[in-house]
Amino acid sequence: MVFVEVPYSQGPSFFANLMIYHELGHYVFERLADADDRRPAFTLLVSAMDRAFGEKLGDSIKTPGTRAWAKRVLEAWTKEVFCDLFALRNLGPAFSFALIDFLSLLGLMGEDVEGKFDEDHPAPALRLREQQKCLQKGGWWTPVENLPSGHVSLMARLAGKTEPEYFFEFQETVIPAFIEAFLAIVPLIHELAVDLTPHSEAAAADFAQHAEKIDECLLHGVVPSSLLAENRASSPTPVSMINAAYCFHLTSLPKLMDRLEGQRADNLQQRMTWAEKLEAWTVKGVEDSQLLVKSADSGHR
Amino acid sequence: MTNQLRDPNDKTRPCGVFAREEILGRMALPVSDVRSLVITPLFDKDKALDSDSVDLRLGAYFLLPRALPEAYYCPDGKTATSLHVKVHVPLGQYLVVPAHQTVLGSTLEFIKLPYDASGEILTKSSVARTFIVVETAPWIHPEYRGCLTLEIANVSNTPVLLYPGRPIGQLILLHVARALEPNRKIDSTYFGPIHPEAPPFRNPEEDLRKIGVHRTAVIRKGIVNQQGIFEAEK
Repeated sequence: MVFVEVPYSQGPSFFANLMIYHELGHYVFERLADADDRRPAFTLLVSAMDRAFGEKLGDSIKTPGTRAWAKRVLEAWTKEVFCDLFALRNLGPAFSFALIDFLSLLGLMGEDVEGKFDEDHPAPALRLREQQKCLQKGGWWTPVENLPSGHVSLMARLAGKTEPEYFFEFQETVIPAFIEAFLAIVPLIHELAVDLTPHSEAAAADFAQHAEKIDECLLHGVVPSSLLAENRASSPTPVSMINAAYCFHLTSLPKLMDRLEGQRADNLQQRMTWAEKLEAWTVKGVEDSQLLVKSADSGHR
Repeated sequence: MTNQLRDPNDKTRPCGVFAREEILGRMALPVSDVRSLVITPLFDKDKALDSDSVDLRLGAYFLLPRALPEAYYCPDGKTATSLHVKVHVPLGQYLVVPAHQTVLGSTLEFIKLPYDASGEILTKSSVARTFIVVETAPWIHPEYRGCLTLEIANVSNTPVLLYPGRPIGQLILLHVARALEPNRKIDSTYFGPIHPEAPPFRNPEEDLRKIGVHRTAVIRKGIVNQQGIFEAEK
């Protein structure tokens, strides 16, 4: 995984900055589309888009302008789901948590918006359903599914929505054929994301191995760049640190504050201070991890 | 090594400076153990640990003093965070500290001290001989955790280059004869910084009032108006 260095000034909003990986996905998609020698998984996806359009929408849309618009809608949804899955396979569930925070989904979800597709984005319910599927397949879901967190329960609830609950409305007319066409494309988006990120399963295994120790470090206010197990120090990957820290953020901040003099978890200002501190420890852990890897590579560790 | 790690309530446990073996033993304890010592990242452990100290490296973040709009600096509630500019110097780059100038830096290593040990950070002798002084408040309390803020002063007559990542100080650990209080909470002041931190100050009159001083001389900015009357800046 290529980790983009986070500027000093962005340390306190590190988790929100994980959304950058979705935007990187857009760049990757454009590069795949522009490549002279197209990747087979991308070619299959493009074929699936053409086929789905032809089978579900082609006969009913006659004017060239409307056909072009309909193709653009399908392509926009495809890109959005691809970018989610690309980010997710690089970052793990921390991306989903960041997306939920970024879009304020915890507070804003309701029957009228959960299943609603617009011209640019698929419905939140579908996006989170596909993310959950991707996490399950990649080995990420099991370590987080029982976290006592609103983020996890929201994901599970939205993922459980049925396809008839999805809808796309244009000029006050619901057009089910768009959803049907898109659902036929979605499996190919998964395949492309998997094809581009073969390292994801190893990252999930590292997280499962180190999450508990990272959590223990954070609970004691320690940067988790070097972990002790059976009297040997090991370094978790940046992705493991980011995910464990996000899980800690969602579930254990009050436990940390409870260990400190004069700190109360119900004091919003104090809670924000420790949330920022947690993000700073995560950034430091990621920086340290990169240094330790470089040092080991050059034989000086 | 295990015989070095006595029961925390054992009054006969050792005093004095930690030797290399005890430092290593404390570092091998799990982080949840109150006696544990954490120093991370620790590169080239064999060289970093001396018989009674650990070498610490210079971190990549600095607070540089800025030119103030006033002709003076008063450590008070208003100016505490306005004296410095934050700067990141990536590893491989350098920071020039002009002659007779100061900067706040920090250690690259994040440390956690045991509940029964204090620390002291000293300038490495090789660095001191370039007339760079890294600490004027070298004491570290038990249970501290964070990257240590270094008050770096170039007391020489020539500019000196500082390279983040190079060894700059030595950490000495000393036993503190202190009984373990299992449910005691940890002081959260200066808890867990990873960058150099500017000092938090109250206004001088607030500090002095606590010891019964009710008249404090202050300098106030303001202007003298057309009538020759001083108007304090709000």
